[in-house]
This record gives sequence, C-alpha cells and structure tokens, in this order.
Amino acid sequence: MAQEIVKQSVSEDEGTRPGRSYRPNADIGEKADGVWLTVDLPGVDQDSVEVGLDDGVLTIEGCVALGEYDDLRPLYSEYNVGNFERRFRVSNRVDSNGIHARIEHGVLHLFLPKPEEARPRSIAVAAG
Amino acid sequence: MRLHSYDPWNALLRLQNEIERAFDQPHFGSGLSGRGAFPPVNVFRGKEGYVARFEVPGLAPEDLSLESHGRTLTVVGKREPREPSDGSLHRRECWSGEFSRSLQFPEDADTSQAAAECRNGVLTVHVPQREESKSRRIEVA
Repeated sequence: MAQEIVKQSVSEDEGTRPGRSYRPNADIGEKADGVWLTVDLPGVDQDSVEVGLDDGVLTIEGCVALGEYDDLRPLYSEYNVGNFERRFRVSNRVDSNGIHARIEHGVLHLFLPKPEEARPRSIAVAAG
Repeated sequence: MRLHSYDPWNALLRLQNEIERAFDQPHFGSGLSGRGAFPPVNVFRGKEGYVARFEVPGLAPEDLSLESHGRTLTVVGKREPREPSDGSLHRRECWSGEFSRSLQFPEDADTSQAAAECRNGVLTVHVPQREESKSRRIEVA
C-alpha cells in the first residue's frame, strides 16, 4: 500500500496565524466504547499541543520548537517544518467530558468515549 | 524602546523559506535513497558540522539504531502499526513498518564521531566536521 508521507499544507480555510500549518497524518478507529485517533506530530511536546472540541469539531494544533533550528542552514530537505493543524467533525455521540489525550514520542493518542446509551450492550435472556 | 523584538513567527517563515530553497537544490550526497522514503530527512549545516533531522513519530530511542561506515550513516528502525485489538479501523495514514535509510555525507564530515538523540519523534544526528578541514586563523609573525 502506498503511504503518503509528504506533508500537506492546511488550506481549507483562512488561517488566523502567520506561517504555514501542515496537516498531520492520523489513524482513526472505533471500538465498542468509543473512537480513538492517533495523530503524528513529530517535534511537538506535551506543552505545545492543544486539543479542543467545540460544536462537534475536534481541533488539534501542535507547535514545533523553532529554537532548535537556530544557526542551522538547510542543505537538503525532504519535509517542511511548521506547525500542525487538523480538524475533524465528530459525531454527537461523544461524551465530551470523558475525552482522554496523551502525547508520546511525537504521537498524540486521543480517545473519545461514547456515552453510555450509545454503547452496544448485550441483553441477557432469562429462561421462562 | 525595543523596535525589533524576537518574533517566532518571522523565524518560522524564514525557516520555511530556506527549506523551500533547499528543496530546489541538488541532492545532498549521492547515497540518498531519495525523497518519498521513510523517514523523511532534512540536512543542515551547523557551526560544528552537519545536522540531520529525521521525522520518526512514534519511535522511542530504543526503537532506532545507527551505524556509520566511511562517509555513510545508516538509520534502521521499526514502527509498529496501531492494530486495534477489537473494533474497526476507519482511516490509516500514519506510516508503519521497518525501514533502513542511508545518508552519505561530504568528505569533511567525521561520521565516526556522530552523536544522536531522539525526542518527540524527531531523531537528530550531529556529524562534526573533521578537525583538519575546519578553517583556522593563521597568525602572521
């Protein structure tokens, strides 16, 4: 399977920040109790990532540390360095208070739990 | 009054412009396996030598190994795919699998003295310039 690793610039809407932002790659899956996402944010640490859920839109923003590029002159480049930004429309069936996020080795792990009533359940059948 | 304070956004724009210029330049060394390979790398010239930065999200230092041979530096590693134990996968964009990438440095790079660190999914390799090829100030008697 061909895997795209070239970063795409965020272009759907006008940005409010100077500089360009890039769209991070994401894996998304669903389990019985919720939806999980992993988002690649290389160069972003715990203090530089923001996750928000507003009106059904999940926003992920990550800032890279630019100080590490002081006094460095690019000779050869395969990827752009810039901040990350991506939005996802999330189903209403998410318990927004229970969202869990953690970042490890430049990967953001998010878990969006489903509210109790939206989870599948098995119903015990009693013998008459 | 300070008229020119440090503006990180200007720094970001400048870096992006410089990187874009480097995209147009001929390949660094001849030993690169080319663009589109994982992990992508940027190579910089620093004060003390060369700096290579690989984007390796999801990899811990122990998932990576580096080897130098002559002017060539090879990075080997593996990123495990995120396989859900149950449920379904809706989207897969993140790269996973085994990789090996080699970079060939110029003559004046001393790959035997290379040092590497991996933080926040970015592997940084510092390759110093050979002592004898550093420019020196010569006193005139």
